[in-house]
Amino acid sequence: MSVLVRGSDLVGLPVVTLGGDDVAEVRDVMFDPGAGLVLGFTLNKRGFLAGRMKELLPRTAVAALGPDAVMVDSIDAFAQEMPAELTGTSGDVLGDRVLTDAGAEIGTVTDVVVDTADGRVVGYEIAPTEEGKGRQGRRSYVPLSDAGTASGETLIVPASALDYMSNDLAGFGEAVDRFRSLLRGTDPATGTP
Amino acid sequence: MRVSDLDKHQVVDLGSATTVARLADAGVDVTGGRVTGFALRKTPGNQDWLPWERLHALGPDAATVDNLDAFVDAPTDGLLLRGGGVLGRRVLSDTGVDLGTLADVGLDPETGALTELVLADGHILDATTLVGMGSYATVVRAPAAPD
Repeated sequence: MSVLVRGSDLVGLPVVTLGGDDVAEVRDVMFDPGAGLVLGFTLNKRGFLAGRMKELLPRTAVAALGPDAVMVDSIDAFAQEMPAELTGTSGDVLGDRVLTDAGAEIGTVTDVVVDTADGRVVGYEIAPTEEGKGRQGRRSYVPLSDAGTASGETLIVPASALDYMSNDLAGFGEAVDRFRSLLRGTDPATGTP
Repeated sequence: MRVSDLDKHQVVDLGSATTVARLADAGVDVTGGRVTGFALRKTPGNQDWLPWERLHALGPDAATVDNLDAFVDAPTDGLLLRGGGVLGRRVLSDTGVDLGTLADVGLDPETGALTELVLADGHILDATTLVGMGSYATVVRAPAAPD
């Protein structure tokens, strides 16, 4: 079962071993906006005087990413540095403007939406550009296509993604699935500019 | 039988037919899925641990021992359900989902095997799903997602 969570929801989650000990907590989520993948987590110590930990938790060492905890087999999951296959462009897309490939600006990125099943970024939470939308201040969710590109300044999404925007995370998972199957179905026929 | 049923259990010495201690806590072996023994209070001496193997019987109203040689020094390692804070702590699935609070643990009075985990909301999990018991949570294997 895939559960969608916002990246910011993961911050502060306890990192728990299968033995039931809490060994760290998520300080921040490292992800590669180009590949649309969570790379791993920086960590804080647990407890009252929680400070930053030197160790990182690569995504591949995570046993399970849940809504209430990040599960690891043991503290051996922690690494001093990211394994080579995971060192992507660990970038920050928060605050990027979101532009469709047709040239329409639809908002700015306020968070990433992560599928807990496989650590993929499946979409973005955006604050819509206000003019003409009539629902100021509301967050929307826009699905990320496999072809989505990000520069650290602008995030490009296919115009067709707009039809699959959602106003709540609960219904967003289904929208992502439909959007993805649409892309898979139409890509060979139409291609993308 | 549940661990909470043992609260008021006396330990009776069959040789002298006298009450020699009371059960205070239960130790568990998570990997083996069983109770390893009981911490005792009100013992005649300093030895306040009753290993499971030295029980004569664990009945509905009392635990019985053949004689006081059954009592030994408490092991320095091992996990106590109450003293270790396992009861009252959260239960997490191995997929990272909070399932509730562990309220009680069931055991087989014949073998000491753990039989079930009882959540505070009354939900019961089979003890074979037990993965770990730690300082933060009891971890259980997630039930297979219904298709």
